[in-house]
Amino acid sequence: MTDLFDMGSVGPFVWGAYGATFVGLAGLAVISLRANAQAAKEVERMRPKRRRNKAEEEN
Amino acid sequence: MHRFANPAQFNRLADRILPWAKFVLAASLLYGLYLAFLGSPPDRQQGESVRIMYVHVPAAWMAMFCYMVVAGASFTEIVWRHPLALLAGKAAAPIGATFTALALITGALWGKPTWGTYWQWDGRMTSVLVLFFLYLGYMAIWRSMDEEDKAGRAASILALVGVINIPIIKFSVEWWNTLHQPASVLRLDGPTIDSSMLWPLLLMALAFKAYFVIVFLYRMKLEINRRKLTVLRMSQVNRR
Repeated sequence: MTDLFDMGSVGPFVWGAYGATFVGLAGLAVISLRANAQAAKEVERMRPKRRRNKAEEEN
Repeated sequence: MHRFANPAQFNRLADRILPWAKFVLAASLLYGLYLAFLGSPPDRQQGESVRIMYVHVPAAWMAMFCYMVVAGASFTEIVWRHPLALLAGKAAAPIGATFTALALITGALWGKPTWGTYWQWDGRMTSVLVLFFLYLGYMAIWRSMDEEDKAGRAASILALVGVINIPIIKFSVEWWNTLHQPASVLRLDGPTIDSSMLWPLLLMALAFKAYFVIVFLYRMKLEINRRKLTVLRMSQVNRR
């Protein structure tokens, strides 16, 4: 078992690698999920409008 | 295969897979990190820096796996004109680019304490850098044209040409003199790595694979929604 906070001179390299991995992967996941949620909201916002327009056209 | 060409059917399938993938990600990541930091010994020669292997190697595997997904989707699009194949390639490319960048960054951070250098123009590192540029090129082509289908077709051709780089990455350590050691896990005669290090490595690889499935499915949903938006906007313009 290792002491997480005492890795000697290689500590910054190990934590740097894990930190970069976390930031990279979490960042991409957040960007992807937010973009999808925004696009889904936009689709929902436009759909009723289309139905409204259709109803107006029929009248 | 064309069964899932229907976006609604694809979304239903994705919604069924996502909770399982999230569970696999959480379980394998937590246990994998526990083993990587606390349950595995330091290496006799490398000491504690060997722990970088548990993120570097799975990231490098995923970099190649994602490229095969992009290339497979490109092939499917060109040969069978599957409507979702184009979107699958487009959805997988940023994930692959991220894993490739992470493999390069974590490799540099592992290289400095192990070899005394962040970077060396050896076969493995150079071919992975080429893979990163292939991803960037693929994504740049997608953005370069207004007509999405044309852009997708051009990007698909680049992706298929770039497949040649995958065996070069895999066998570079055998073909050329390199700082990297030969393969120690994916070998015909079985892994040569001790099980105390193999298990955390495999668990982290499983976590990265589950991450890919989750983000890929969300990016596919995103691309489907973008397509829907384009159609909705076009229909509004046509009505005016």
